[in-house]
Amino acid sequence: MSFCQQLAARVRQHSVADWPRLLVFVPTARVAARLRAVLSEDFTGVLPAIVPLKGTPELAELLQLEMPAAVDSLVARMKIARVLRLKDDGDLFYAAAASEVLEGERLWRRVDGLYSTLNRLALHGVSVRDLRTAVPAHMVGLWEQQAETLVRVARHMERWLAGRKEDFAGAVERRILDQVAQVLRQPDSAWIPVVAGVVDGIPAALEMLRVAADRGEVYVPELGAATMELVSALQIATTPLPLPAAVYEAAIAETDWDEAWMAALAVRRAVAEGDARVAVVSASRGLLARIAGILEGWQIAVTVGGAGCLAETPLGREATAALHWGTRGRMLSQWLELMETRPLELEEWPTVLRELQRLKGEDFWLDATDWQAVMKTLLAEAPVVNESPTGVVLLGPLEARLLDFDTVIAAGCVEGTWPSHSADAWLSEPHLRALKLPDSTHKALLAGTELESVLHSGSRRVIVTYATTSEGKETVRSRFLADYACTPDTELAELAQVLRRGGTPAEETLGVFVPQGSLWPKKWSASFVEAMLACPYRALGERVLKLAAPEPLTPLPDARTAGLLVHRWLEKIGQLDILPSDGEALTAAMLELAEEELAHEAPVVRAIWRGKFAKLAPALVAQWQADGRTVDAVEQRLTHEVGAVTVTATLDRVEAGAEGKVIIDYKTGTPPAWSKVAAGIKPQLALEAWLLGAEVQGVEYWHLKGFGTSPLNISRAGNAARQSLESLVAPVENGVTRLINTYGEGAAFTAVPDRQGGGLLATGHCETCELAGVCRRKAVKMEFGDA
Amino acid sequence: MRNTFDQQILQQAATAQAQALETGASVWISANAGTGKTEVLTRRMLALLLADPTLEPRQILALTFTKAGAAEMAARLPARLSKWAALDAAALQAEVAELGVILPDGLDVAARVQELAQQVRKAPPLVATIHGMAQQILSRFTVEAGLPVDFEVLEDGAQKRLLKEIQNELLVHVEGPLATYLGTLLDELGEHGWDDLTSLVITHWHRLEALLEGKGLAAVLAKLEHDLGLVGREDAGQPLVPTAAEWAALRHVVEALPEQSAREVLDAPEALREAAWKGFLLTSSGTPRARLFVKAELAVLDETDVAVLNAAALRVAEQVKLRRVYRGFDVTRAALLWAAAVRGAYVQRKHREGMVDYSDLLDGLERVLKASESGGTGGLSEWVWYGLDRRFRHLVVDEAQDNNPQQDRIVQWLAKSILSGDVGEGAARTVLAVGDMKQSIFRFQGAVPELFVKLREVLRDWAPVMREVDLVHSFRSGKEVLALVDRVFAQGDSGAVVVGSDFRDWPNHAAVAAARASRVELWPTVVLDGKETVEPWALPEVRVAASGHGEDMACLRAVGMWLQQQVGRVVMPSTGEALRYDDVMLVVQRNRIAALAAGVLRGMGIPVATGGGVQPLVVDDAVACLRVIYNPEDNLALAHVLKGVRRWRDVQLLELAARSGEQAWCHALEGDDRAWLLELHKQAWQAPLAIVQRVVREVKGNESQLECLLLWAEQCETLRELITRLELDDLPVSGTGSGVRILTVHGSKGLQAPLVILPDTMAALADVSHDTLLWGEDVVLFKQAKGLSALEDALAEAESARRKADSLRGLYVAMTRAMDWLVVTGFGEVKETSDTWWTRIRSGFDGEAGADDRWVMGDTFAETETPIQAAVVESVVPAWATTPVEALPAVAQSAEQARGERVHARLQGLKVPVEADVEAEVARVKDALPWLWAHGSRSEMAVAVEGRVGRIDRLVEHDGALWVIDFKTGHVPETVPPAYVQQLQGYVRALRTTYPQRTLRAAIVWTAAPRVDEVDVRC
Repeated sequence: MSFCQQLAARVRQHSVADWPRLLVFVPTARVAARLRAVLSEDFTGVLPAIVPLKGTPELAELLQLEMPAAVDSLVARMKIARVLRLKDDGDLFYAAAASEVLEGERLWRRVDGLYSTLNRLALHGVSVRDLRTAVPAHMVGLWEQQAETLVRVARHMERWLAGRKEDFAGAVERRILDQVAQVLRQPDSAWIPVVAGVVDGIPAALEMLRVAADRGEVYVPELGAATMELVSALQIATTPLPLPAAVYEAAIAETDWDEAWMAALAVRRAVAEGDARVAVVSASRGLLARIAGILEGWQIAVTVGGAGCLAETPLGREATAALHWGTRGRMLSQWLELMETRPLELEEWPTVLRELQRLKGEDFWLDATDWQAVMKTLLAEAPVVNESPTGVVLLGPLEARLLDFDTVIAAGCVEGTWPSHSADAWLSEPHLRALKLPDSTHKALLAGTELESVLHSGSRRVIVTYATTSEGKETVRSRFLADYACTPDTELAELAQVLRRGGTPAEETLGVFVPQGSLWPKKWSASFVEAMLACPYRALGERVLKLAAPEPLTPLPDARTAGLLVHRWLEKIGQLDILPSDGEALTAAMLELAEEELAHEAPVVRAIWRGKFAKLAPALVAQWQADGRTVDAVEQRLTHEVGAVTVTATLDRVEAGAEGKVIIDYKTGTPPAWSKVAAGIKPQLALEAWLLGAEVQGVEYWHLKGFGTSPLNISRAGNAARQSLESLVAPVENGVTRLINTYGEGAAFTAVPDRQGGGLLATGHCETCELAGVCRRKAVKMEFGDA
Repeated sequence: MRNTFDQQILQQAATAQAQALETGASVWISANAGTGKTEVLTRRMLALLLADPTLEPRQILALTFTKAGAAEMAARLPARLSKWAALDAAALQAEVAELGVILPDGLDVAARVQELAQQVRKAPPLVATIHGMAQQILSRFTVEAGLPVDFEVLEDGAQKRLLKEIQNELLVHVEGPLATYLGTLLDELGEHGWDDLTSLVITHWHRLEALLEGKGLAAVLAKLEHDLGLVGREDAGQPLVPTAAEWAALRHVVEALPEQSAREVLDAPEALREAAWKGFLLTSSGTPRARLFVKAELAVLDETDVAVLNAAALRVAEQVKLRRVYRGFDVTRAALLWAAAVRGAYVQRKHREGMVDYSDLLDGLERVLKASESGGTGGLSEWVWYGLDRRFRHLVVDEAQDNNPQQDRIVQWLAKSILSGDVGEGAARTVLAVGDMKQSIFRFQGAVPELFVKLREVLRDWAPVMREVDLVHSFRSGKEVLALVDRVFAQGDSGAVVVGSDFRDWPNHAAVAAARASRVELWPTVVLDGKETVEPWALPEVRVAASGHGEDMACLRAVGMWLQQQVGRVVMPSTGEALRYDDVMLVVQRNRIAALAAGVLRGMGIPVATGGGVQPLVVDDAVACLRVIYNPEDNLALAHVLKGVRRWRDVQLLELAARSGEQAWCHALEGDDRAWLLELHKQAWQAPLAIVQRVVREVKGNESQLECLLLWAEQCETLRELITRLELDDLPVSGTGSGVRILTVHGSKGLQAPLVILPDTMAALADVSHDTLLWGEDVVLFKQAKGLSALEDALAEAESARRKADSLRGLYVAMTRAMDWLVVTGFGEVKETSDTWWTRIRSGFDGEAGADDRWVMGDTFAETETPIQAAVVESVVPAWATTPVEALPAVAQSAEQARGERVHARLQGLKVPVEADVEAEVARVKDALPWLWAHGSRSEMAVAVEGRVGRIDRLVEHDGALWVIDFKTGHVPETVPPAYVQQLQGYVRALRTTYPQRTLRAAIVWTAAPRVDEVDVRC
């Protein structure tokens, strides 16, 4: 029998006539709903009042109590932000971190931390004076300075809230509970208080437990060691409700993503087996989000518990995304305008809109950047209502407490999640204890009791999952599992592995373009020929289909930019009417042209290349002087018909010397190795020489590389090229004809992997090729030769 | 694992371990590979806890070097205690007796174990890396440490991304002198420009940062200039031109010999004169030419001119050398200035965003801990331990050989504080440090293995009782493997280099499972003759087919073929089963070889679990999908997705291209493909995690390879942010989980395998040829060339010696990964001068190779009679996992219903935020019908009606009757619809059960009117 069923049995021991006087306190609203549902089975009549043991307005309304006004959490946060900005010279905290600039995200993180600490202090009824006395006299260290800030903000808030006649939500909750205890303690009170399943009470709730122990009943679940320890710490007479232990299954994954799959598979299995109530419970919201995504993919509808908030919905995302994508900095009025002109079809959205409208009247001064934090908080605090009494639910441990399901999956059972490692940044452990606030040991026990509750909530199946690594780091299994003997559920782990690896992909269609019509290249430039000799598929893809990655989102000057810049410059220089013999004038004109070109470039290109041009210009002039040749042509365009193809080339520069012409190609990067030029793998210069004809005496690559302290080094492939020009040019005509004929119209432009690339060779893939995903050679096994 | 432990050796091992468990003594342990350190440390903690009934688990601090180590250690103690707590008295007694600890008189062991099991649940020992400990402490004492209160730790990966991002920003905004220096640096770095620059800074970040922070930029540069002998050498930057006398001598030469090459100097234009002058005097390597003139020329030249020019050659050679030295300085200065600029921006960014990197964490920890030294008793550290609620009484330090100087200082401080009683309270306080200098392979991360030896001195000085223990008994490797290790390191300087000169002798290894068969093999290296050539202008297919595969691939292919023969056939002694691919580990020295090995083995159909680093196509597909969702006009990504995901053929791509003309391809998509694209693009506003999960489905599963992408998606808020991150950084490559593991030495640390193969053994031990920077203790230098300066030579030599030690320690680690079988091979010619892993291992084998050219020692393994096929077992997917689940309709609330809820809440008296019209509507109802809120009335009363729960909006005593009121919002009908009448009749039935004597009446209140319609409930 589940906890709610047992509790219902106890309630039924009361006469039905007494039920309207029964006031049953349970840990959560979900337990209240579940208990009502159990009690209503085969019954018609008035049900007891069943409420969570919290100082809620509903409780105050039920008992017709005076209900103090709680400050809106967002308004309070905005006030705290304002106080933090009011730097006080005497504030030691700021003195200790004088250079700290609190703005944006950091400010709001701190604001959130302070708000939650102040609210917690208010819930526990801790005053500023208590805070002070909690610091032992001999332990006044730098923490005191941190306390100064806490106290300063607390004082500000105290005065401010008094002026508004409001209080922190925590204080309101405490005061309501105090009043409830008073009402129930009165001798003439008709209410019969019953507290069930509450073992972690704050002081005000503890008082309620005492009242219930005196005048009604206190039931506690018998779960495990952690719960027992918490119950014994209550020091109140309680009636145990024994819960049956289950057979536990443990599904252990290697990674946290495998774990999400295992949990999702467990849900799927349970649904397929006909379970009506299936729950996945985890303290990790990230894990729940992953599981939800997998289930969504299988079209299994899930109810996400209170962990879900507007910020996590698509439209909430749209709003936050808009903050990042350019509307950041808008003022409130602009926000309102934005939302009114583009109304979002989401139920919670009007809530946010109303909140914003209300905030507009709060007379706050906020930086533009604050609005991002304000919106985020609003979105994060607007819950998404998606309740379903049955089906699949994903819950946090607190929400899942003492519920019952057919199958329950406790996911993420590792240290750091169960229990969490979070610590209070503002209060140390001894202070927490001195102030009677839950310390880390107590919190660990609470986490333990939550896990124990989950482990007792599956009537048919209880599955524990965890991963041995998280984000690549080793994890440690939750300490609370040590007492539970779990049977390994290897089916889930294996299935997760199998399904996550996916099925055998369909047969790859390897890169084979067979271009026809307008897509068949009729003009073959020298660089296209070079590309064709390397990989025809890539050549067609890049140069004909123009398949190139768009500008990156964070653009940087690249080698291509530099190459284009220098070539534009050199082209213009070639048109100057100044001879190299007039070195100074030519250099000055070249630098002037450089400035003209740089004016169109990004600042970084200007900054780097201005210096390089300053070195390049005189060095080029000197080289031209030394060579003593004349400029024959600049950017000369040559064509030649080979069958149906026009072979073209644009020569950077042609110079005429005593023995003939020299073709010069400028390279801002490293020129190809001569061996590749000679082997016809990099045939650009040979092709250009062939196109230019018999007058060519030499071909040269000029590597334009500036050295800091040396004059420019113009690395030239000239000598070697001159010596073997004939052997270089001789095979061109046959080569280019054979190439064009081979890929004649109707033939396949097949992808040819770069087999010179070491490890890349082995995968049959050219790693640097942007078309790798289109040609898909990567997916194919390599074939070995006879090596 | 099957182990045939030798009882005698096991007893020796137990004796050594017993010393480590002596609870009253501090212990310094030098532990060989595979000696079960983690188990010893767990037992040590158990022994301490049992020996001292006042000790709580939380008073033990255990520091490890890796998070994996911390996780393993943290898991063992609670597991052991939990297991013990469930044992009966006799079994528990036996377990405790085996521990050999002296228990206090009268100790109820069972009760103590129960108590410890509880304590360890509430407050376990602090088991962490030093960084982890720092994070835990500093998250509580941020102000004391001078850190931002709400700091966020910048993990290594995030730090690299940030450094890259910062450099990109700096590059875009670079100006002034920094631009000049940047130009110098980029010239030096060459072809890959920005990438080289960013990776230079990222690779050397910690050392650059330490150098700049420790000494300051100006001091470092001044020292460097001094050490290079450049102070006062203004001539270093002077042009190399002939002096007047030299010019005259040149002229005389040319006058006498008009065709002499000296003419080129005289004729050269000014800008090229220097090059011509150098070319005349010096060889291409910068040394003076042996003879400037041939004998015939000398006969006609004036001796004085020749002497002047010979002297000039010496002068210019010296000046060229000086200039190259200056070049080294200049580039180093540029690199440091750039690093300083990056650092400045990095510090600012960290500060602005409240981020703290690992180095800040250690600095902060040191500050907090050391504050007590100046503050005396009751100082900050005492406050820290108080605040943490920890009074450590015992310190356990694992992998102490991997500490860097700062980590060592922290460990020493903790050790001294605990031993002196500054930190802990109570009687017994001990420190245990365990390490192995032979396995210290993290020097590139700052580890200084010698510090482990110094820690022993600290313990000797501070511990009242101290034991020094050698753990030499390996539970992992077989005797032949260990014997080879001992023989290899007994030769030459191997042992001394690895264990250090001020350390003890090489500790001979012993196999606990001495009776278990084991085997070592050394294969000859693979050497190929000649290379094939192809004719010029060969078509690409022809050229590719003709090109050879190289020695490295041939070697790895031989390994693969050999593996295919062994797997499923040879029975491994440690497992007792036929060899599986999962039992095989390839340990390599270089990432490149790992990638190659992964490619070769995969290409042969051998499953590879980890290693290789090449992203599978499915990941590329997923990233392309994301790009398409973000920007459908990205033709390249769309082509990729259409081909990879929509399974298009190339012909369809060409048709689409033809159809598209000048517009983006997405606009020309038709039919299903168009609908699919539009639907996909709609995802762009979703949470990145949801987008990626959708994409995973699109690319047909294989989510395991996409884990990292999913993780990144989780960490990003928008798709744009995710895409930017993908542009900035390469996604790490995930393993597949089963098959051969291919690991670098560093990746293999701490792991083991029945069969270990070392195929990458021919890299020179002390090779520094690929280094860009040379590091000294407080200096760095951009490497230029050997023989330029004493400083550069000394730095290179020192680095070379360190590299050799690293490499040999790596060899030790690699060899000791093997449990049963170690196979060593390599590629490339073994020369006389070769000093490589292969040659060092060769020294461990006697004589010549066997008939098959292999050296083999050890046992022959059994073989299965019928070879087992190594095929992957097909997992059967049950029907429930593949049958589609019927989709359940989502419950959605209409706007009208939501408004109605707000009206109800306000009528109940709850102060939920509402619109002005709701406020007004509620006010009108309350004004018109005040009796509904009369004293004693109740709202939202729950009732059960035939098994269903209902809620009565208000129950009011009025006019002698009990009225059931139900509020209805929205449209006001003329008469009450029958469904509402039934609802109220149900409520009344429920009330009649509880209040049988009361007169019951019911009414609907239409809030929009407002109007009251009484309902006849007499049924």
